[in-house]
Amino acid sequence: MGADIFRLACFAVAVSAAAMTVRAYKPELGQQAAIAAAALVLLYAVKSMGGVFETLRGLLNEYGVPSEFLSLLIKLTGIVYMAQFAADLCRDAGESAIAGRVELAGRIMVVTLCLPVIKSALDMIKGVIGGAR
Amino acid sequence: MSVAIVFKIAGIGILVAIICQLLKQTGRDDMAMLAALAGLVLTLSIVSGLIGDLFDNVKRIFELY
Repeated sequence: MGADIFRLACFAVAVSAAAMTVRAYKPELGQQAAIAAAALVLLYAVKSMGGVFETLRGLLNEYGVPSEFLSLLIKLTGIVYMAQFAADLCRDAGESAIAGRVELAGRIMVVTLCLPVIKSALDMIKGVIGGAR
Repeated sequence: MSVAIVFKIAGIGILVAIICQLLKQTGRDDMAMLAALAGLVLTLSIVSGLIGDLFDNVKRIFELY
């Protein structure tokens, strides 16, 4: 598993060289190659991330943390990864305005999903203060 | 991990560039434009398949439904 990073690094450098070569003649096709490489590397990373979440879920179950918090965390991670992926590709293509809007949309989605957690935290604080009074 | 896809796209890029140069030299600019468009569509279909695969995996693993 750990040794795969060498393959990944070689792949990334080779694709950078190839994309740079192609971009000199056909910029749009060089960009396509870069997008494909980014998608492949991210696909690999995401596939190996499923195991991490399973382990984390087991760990949190053991310590009695409500599992909806973990699924929220997983969801947020996915949203952030996707937003960052799209924004970076847009920025590579020279469209930083679109990239900024994608990031903004990602942030808004994260905040929207976080609101119930903030509410439950406030409820907990209220409960503690109310009990002390 | 199908690494070859990326290099296939790069190869298509170089091939399309050469074809475009040849067609332009022989004075067929419209055909050169068509060849460039065909290359773009070809690579775009490959890349969209890859990105669809990525999105499916992310949806499944990060539980985004």
